[in-house]
Parts: sequence; C-alpha cells; structure tokens
Amino acid sequence: MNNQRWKKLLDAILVPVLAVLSGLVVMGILILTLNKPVLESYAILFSNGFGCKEYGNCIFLTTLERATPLILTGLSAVVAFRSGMFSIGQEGQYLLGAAAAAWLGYAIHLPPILHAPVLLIAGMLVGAAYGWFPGVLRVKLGVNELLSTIMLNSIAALIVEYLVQFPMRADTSAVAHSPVIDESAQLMSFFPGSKWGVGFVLAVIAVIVVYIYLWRTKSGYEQRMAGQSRRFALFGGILSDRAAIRAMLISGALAGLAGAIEVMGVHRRIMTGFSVGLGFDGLTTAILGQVHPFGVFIVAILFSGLKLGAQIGLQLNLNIPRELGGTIIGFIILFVAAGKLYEENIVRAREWATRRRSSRLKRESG
Amino acid sequence: MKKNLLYVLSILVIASVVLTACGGAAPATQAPATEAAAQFTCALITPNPLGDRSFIDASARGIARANEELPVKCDIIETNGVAEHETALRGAIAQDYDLILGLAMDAEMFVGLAEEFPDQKFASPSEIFLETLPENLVAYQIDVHESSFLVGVIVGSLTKTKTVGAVVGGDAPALNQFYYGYKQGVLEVCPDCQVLVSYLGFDFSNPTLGLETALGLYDQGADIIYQVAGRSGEGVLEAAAQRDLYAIGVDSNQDDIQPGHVIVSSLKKVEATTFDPIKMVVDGAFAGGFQRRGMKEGFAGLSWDEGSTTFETQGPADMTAKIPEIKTLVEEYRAKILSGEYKVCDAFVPETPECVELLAK
Repeated sequence: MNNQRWKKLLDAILVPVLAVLSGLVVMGILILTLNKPVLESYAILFSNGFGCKEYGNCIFLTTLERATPLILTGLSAVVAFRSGMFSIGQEGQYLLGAAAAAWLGYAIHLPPILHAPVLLIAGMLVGAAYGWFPGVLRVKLGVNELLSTIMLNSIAALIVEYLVQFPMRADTSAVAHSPVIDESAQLMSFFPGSKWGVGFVLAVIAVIVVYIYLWRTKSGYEQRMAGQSRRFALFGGILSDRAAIRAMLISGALAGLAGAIEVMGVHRRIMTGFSVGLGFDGLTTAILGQVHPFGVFIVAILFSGLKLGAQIGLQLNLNIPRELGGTIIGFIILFVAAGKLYEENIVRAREWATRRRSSRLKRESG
Repeated sequence: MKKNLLYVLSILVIASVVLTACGGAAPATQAPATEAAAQFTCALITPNPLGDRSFIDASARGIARANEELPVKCDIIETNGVAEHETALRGAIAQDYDLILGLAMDAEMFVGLAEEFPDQKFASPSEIFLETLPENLVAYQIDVHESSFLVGVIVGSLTKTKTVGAVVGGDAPALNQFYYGYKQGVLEVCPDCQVLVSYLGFDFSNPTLGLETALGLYDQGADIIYQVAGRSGEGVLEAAAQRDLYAIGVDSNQDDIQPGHVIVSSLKKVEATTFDPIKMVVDGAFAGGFQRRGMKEGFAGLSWDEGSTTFETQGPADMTAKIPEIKTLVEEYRAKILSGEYKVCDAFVPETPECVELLAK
C-alpha cells in the first residue's frame, strides 16, 4: 500500500477519534458540575460499554448485539448516500422488515433450515420494496427523496403500530406485542446470557459485501459515479436513474434485514415502541463513519458502546441521569460533524512539521 | 477568529487525552465504590424516561417512599424503549441489587431472566399475564373494579341527563375491569341511566383522540365521563372543561388538572405495588408468584379518600350540595363490598353471576 493511501486512512481514523475525545472532555465538565467523580465516570463509561467482567455477563457482547442493527442501517445509508440519494428512510424500512419477519415467524411453520432464511429474505424484500417508492418518485417525478422518506417513515411507524395493536396482537397485556416467533425462526446466539449471535455475523458479511459491491464491481462503480457526478455518469453511458433506483432497493433491503435480525435474534417478536430511532442512529453512524462500510462498522460498535455506558452504566453506578448520557453522545456527534475543523488542523500540523523538517534539512545541508 | 477556535479545540483534545489516560488507571481502586454492603439495595427499571405524569412517576414515588421509610437504598434506572430493557436489567443484576423491580417489562423476557438468575429476587409492580411465575419473581395486579364501582355510584347520583359515558383505552379485561365496575355502580343507583362507552383501540398517548371521543359522547347527551385511557385521557378532562361538563380522573389524583370539572379520581396506586415488594424483602417475607391487591388493601381507591376537596370547593353549588349525602352512600357500599355482602363484576372472571347480569343490560 502506498504512502498516500496510508495517510488518507490515518486521517479517516484520526478525525472521529479526536472528535470523541473532545466529546469526552465536555462530558467531564458536565459531570464536574454534578459533583460526581470525573475519573471514575470515565472508567465506568468504558467498562460498561466495552468491558467484559465475567462469563455470562459480558457487556461488550451486548454492545456488539446493539451494534448489529446499527451496522446494517448505517450500511443502508452508505449505499444510498454514495449513489447520490439522500435517503433517510431507514427507520421505516427497518420497521416494515421487522414486522414482516415477526409475522412470518409465527404465521408459517417451516423446518429450521428454511424458516430463518425465509424470514430474512422476506424482511429484505419488504424493506427493498419500501425503499423502491422514494426511488421511483425521485426518478420519475422528481420528488425530493429526503421529504418522501421522512413521510414514508411516519407512515411505516403508524402501519406497524396498527399491525401490532390489532391483527398481530397476541394477548391482552398492557404493552401490545405479537406472538413469539417459532423456535425454528430464531437466530442463534453464541453465548447464554447475551443475544449476540448469528445476526452479527450477517452484519459483518453485509459490510464486506457492500464494500466489494461499491468499490470492486461495475455496477457499484456506476452507483458511485451516479452519486458523485450525475452528468459525468450520464456522459460515460451510465444510466444514473437506474443506478438511483437500484441504490434505493439495496438500501431498503439492508434496513429491512436489520429489522428482521432484530426480531429474530433479539426480541423474538414485535411490540409497540419497537424502534426508538434506530434508523436515525444508523444515519448518524453512516455520517460519522465517513460514509464508508468499514467506518460504519467501527463507529456502530463505538456508538452503541458509548450509548450503553453513558445512558445505562453511568445511571447504574453513579446515579448520573440518563439525559446526561444522551447529552454526551450528542456532543460527540456534534464534534464529529464539525470534523472539518480537525481535518484543517491536522493538515496544518502536517504542513508545519514538513516545513520544519525541510528547513532543518536546509540548515543541515547549508 | 477561526484560528482561536482551532487553538481552543486543540487544547480540548490534549486535555481529553490526559484526562482519559488518568481515567484508565483509576478503576482498579475506585470501581468498588458501592456503599456498605450491609444495607439493602434495590433498583427500579422504568420502561421509558420519568415524567409521564402517570404510572412511571407513580412508581418512582414508591421508590422515594421506600428510601424514606425503610432502611434501604433504591435507585431508579431509566430506559428508553424496549431495546434497552434487557440490557438495563442485566446491568442491574450485575450490580448485585437485592431486589430488582421491572416496570411493564416484556413478560417472557422478564421471566426468562428470572429463570436464568434463580438467586436474584425480582418484582413487577405492574401486571404480568402469564399462567405461572418462577419462585424468585413476584408480580402485582391491582384490582380496580370495586373502586370503579364507587365511582359509578358517585356518577349515577350526580348525572342530570341520565346519560353518562366512559372513554376506555382498549377492549381488554384489564381495562374493562374499570368499565364494568363503573357501569354496575351507575346502574345500581340509577337503574334507568344509560352508560355509553368508547374504546380508543389501545392508543394511550393521544390526548387529541381522547378529546374528540369525549366531545362525541357529550354530544350524545352524556354529562359525566369516566376516562380510563392514560395520556389520551387528559384530552377527556380537557373536553369536560371545554363543554363545562364533568369527567372522572384515573390512576393518579387528577382532580386538579381541570379544577371544578373533575369530580373525583379513581386511584390505581402503582406506588404501593412498588413499595410493597421492597417491604416484603426487608421483612424477610419475599415470595414469588402473583399478588392481587385491591381496594381492601388500599391499593385502589378514590381521591376523596385521600382528602381531595377540589371539586367540593370549586364545583357548581347544586352538585356540591349533594356531596355529603353521596359520601355516606359511597361509604355504605364500600362497607358492603369489603364485607363481601355485595359483589362487583370483575372483568377477569366474566362468568360470575354479577357479570352475566351486568353484561345482559
């Protein structure tokens, strides 16, 4: 690998790391104002987000489990963004994919080898279909995909709420939920006491597949070209309309897959309040991850770990209110979003270093 | 200007590196900062953040009361939505709390955890609808049919149009328990009264829907409406104020939300079902299984029982004049119910004679 490439990679990692660190400083200040031990809170934030104390109680495994839907919704956003579609429809696709998997999980009975794949495919198909709408609207009618996906998210949320409350409702408990899906449809988890399992492996596979697709295949190249410069793509003979719809289909399928995995691997059913902004967290993940599959993978794990540590760990250990945890995460996102500042700073630092080196060289030689 | 900002940021970055570096070294000595283990500890996991002005806040009051009255140290862990429930419960288990209370958790998940950790005591201050529970999990259910009957008696005595209404969150036994008891009470004191009902399809968080539904019932001639619909019910109280008519509050004391329009509130005291299991563990009397509590044990009742006089002082004179008389009547029925002489229909057992008779009306 050449030097230039390493430098680029280093930059891509350095910016989020610096941003997270700045966020942590703000967190320290906030915690100081509450008169809580700052250093201890850092320790707890990390041990409760990424720690692993004993067998059967390993928080890092929970972090990985929570990261699974984030990775997939993040990838969904990456595919859309890279193809020039600013789709934020992950939430709706995720919900409908989840509902499809939850329904087929108890409505049909198949042998284990078939049942789970059928559900996963169903989730992806439903998600893809729901991604297709804004794509077609965009291409044929010029409807802004940002607006249409926002509206479609609300519609999906209401549809799923209706489904859970009425046709799929299992019993009369206060929180409406569907029946538990068949054992044959559930995704295995690797360790007892955690739901981290096959779903995560599927997410990792998806990261690799998306990377290969976007950077190593012809149609992936078309996607990216259509995203970066529509006119250039057209000039080169790329049907950018088709690329846009294809992007929305793939993006929807990934988000739908996230929903199916969440149902099959974690909750085993769908209930009211199934998604609390998971789709939007995926969006954040995609942007923080520099709109790159590997970046999404790292950021999703980091993000869910920080969330667990800040919103639950700090509460459990130090009685720090969960709102503060949310605020800390908000600051980190803000700092990452302001990544340009760091980039400029890094560039300046590098220039300064080079200048010094060259002047020293000059001095030594002269 | 921009340069200054960059400097500030770089200082922040450096400071953060330093701070985190120190943080990394600290945990070995500081982590076991939990207080003297001799004290009894417990944690309440809420299904959503505090501040719902309803049962989550009520449960939090139960924790506050336990901290005050019992030698315990109880924490509240807020979560936001189902995705965090199990994580928070497992986190609490890892903290070695003596008792973990899970409010409105998914029943199968909660029971699964209780089976996985047989040495950990669990309690659910809210209903769990399952056939059996493990030894280490106690689940509470508050029976509200008797207190709702008393509400019905009050409403039946005060209605002028002989038509009253109920806005019920959904058509399920847990909610019909309110409605059936209420209907029986109304018809007991006013046999020719008509009781209208509207179900909201389990939408508990839509005050506008509650408002529209209540206005519809008022248009049909109802003058008093019993709301059993969570946050949606706040719309019912609003509708009462808009039409200058009357409503009945539910769960918590809502008499002061629309003073003079809320006659009385029927209380379902989640604070008591939160407090009770903590007390059981402190007394060494913890036992798993279902616990049903009701008016008899003081877990359900009327806001009047707790001295609420908002309606008496701010309601219209012709109605408040009747209140002393009604109070005597309520106490008569209460005594009869508590002694077992008079039976109120319980929607969970609709095959009893009193329910069969009521549902035929």
